[in-house]
Amino acid sequence: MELFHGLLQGFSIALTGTNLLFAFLGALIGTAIGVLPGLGPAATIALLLPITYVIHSPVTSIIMMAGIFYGSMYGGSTTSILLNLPGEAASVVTCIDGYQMAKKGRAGAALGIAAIGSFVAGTIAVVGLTFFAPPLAEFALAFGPPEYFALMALGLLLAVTLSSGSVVKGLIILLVGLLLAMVGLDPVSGKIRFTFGSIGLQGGFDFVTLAMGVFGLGEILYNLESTFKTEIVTTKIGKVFPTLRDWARAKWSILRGSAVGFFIGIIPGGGAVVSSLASYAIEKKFARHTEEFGRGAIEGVAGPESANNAASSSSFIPLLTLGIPGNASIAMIFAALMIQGITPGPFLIKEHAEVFWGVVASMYVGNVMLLVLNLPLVGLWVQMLRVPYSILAPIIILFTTVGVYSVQNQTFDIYSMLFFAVLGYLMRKLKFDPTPLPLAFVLGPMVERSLRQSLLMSGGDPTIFLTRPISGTLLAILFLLIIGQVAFLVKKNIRSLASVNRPSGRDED
Amino acid sequence: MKRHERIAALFVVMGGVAIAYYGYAVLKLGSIFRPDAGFLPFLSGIALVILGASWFVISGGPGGDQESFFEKGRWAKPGKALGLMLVYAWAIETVGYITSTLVFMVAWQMLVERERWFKTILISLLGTLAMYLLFNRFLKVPVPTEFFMR
Repeated sequence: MELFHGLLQGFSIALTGTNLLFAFLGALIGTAIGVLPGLGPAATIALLLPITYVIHSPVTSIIMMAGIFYGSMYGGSTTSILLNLPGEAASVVTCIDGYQMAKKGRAGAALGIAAIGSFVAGTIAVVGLTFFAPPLAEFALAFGPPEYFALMALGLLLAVTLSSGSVVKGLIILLVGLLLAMVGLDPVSGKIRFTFGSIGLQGGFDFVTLAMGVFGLGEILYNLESTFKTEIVTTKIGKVFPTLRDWARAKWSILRGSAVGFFIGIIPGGGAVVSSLASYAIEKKFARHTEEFGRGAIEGVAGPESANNAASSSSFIPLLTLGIPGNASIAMIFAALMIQGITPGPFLIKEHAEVFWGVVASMYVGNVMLLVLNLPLVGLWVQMLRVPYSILAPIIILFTTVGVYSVQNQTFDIYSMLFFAVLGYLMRKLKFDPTPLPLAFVLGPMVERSLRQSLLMSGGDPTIFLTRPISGTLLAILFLLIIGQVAFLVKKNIRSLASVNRPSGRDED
Repeated sequence: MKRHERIAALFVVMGGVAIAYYGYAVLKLGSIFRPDAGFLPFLSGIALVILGASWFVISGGPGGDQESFFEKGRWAKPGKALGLMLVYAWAIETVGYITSTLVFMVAWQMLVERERWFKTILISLLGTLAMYLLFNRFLKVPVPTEFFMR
């Protein structure tokens, strides 16, 4: 009953003129950046973080940010299907069958099933969020510093193992994020760390400068290296509503994708990219016409597109109930909440019910808006690709510079942002996935505080983490995960060494 | 073998050593009963040394991406862009927001994008006007005033 009361309250907030407008703006910006290659949702939310200082209502700003995040999942499929160019990382797998469908003159059906699948999955995930989040938050109220430490350690490690690229590189970036978070005043002893005499660094690095530098400018610097030019689309889009036959083939893929995406989205480090890849693999296994995969199977579009949308909505669950951001975009929303003076965590639903229910209700509304924006207006979005990068890049730079400057009116923040831009650029050059960096930066102070508080609580006895049931269980999972990873890496290295040393079959003969 | 990766891995190892030393000698470790400010930096530094060394060993293996990190010409655009951003960061308070934005736009189009004069002027004027309308008029962000208006 309390749940429906909350949801009703949420709709009364989400359906006000201002919130509807900002939900629409979020959905619109999200679709746009989803369509444009080279600018992901994390970067866009980072670029728009300073706007949260201007929007005084926390609900309104989070409604817009959330809209950008799940909106980008809708938009990402458009360029994947029409240009074989993923608009954002979660749509990479859509290229495989989506583009093949377009080549066969079935671009409309692919775009249609992607939008409908996204809508169904997004809605299912929001229903899941509505029912799962309140009891989970209730459960998390029993958490003390040892439980939080164990949970955050597990979350950070999962973020590394599930991010793309090497685990070693992921762990390095995780540590860099933790160390960057340590710059400034030590929260427990009050000592100044890593400032090297700079007054500007005494307050520590600001999350906005880090996010804008690594994700916004870092991405721009990297994109400047490649002179990709988007071709004007000549593919005939055709009818966007799928036929009955398409629908019959795709309906189970959509439901499976929704379930896979929902559960992967909840896992810290999961998110849209992993879920779309997992969904594609599952669809390949379940499909009746496996031979069509890679040649334009509609299941290969419906499953992953549903999964990435479901994951983008369900990844709000750990944020809003445990205060733990599971991926880079959610870390940006975490920062936006902090800017508004709201600490995400188990108390959020009780202390800021209007924020929680307002955002949840806006997701139902936002999904409908996105369906309307994406199905009939797909041709219009494609035209957006005509905007040259030579105009887009300097405008984004100006936007970020003024945005960062406006936070504290000091050029020191701009220089910090440029430092992070170089870091982000080098990370991309060296094939590092930047995802763990903002997570570690956000969670770093909390990890350190809960570790030291736990040790103080136990009088220096580290077994406190093992003797408490919840933290003990979480650390056991963490331990198993590490063992699994090490075993996997050792096996992989032995196999590659064996393949190098093994003489070829001809020699053996 | 990827040479640039091995160099980067060495930097990680050296950084780890420096951080661990800083945590141990400057910030102090404290005890397990009462960890001090250097406790976590020290552990992080040690972990960086181990991970950097692992990366060094792994990147010494065969295969992988052989693309050169320092490939000729690839650094030119990002380098120019970064230089312009540094100058813009300095100029925004010294010269003023609108003037520095206009100069930045012109310099970007000419140096980074190598656009023609007419297109440069058109894009720069329209871009600066858009920024002025958005930040000065619409969002009312307190940006630095122009040097000739002070």
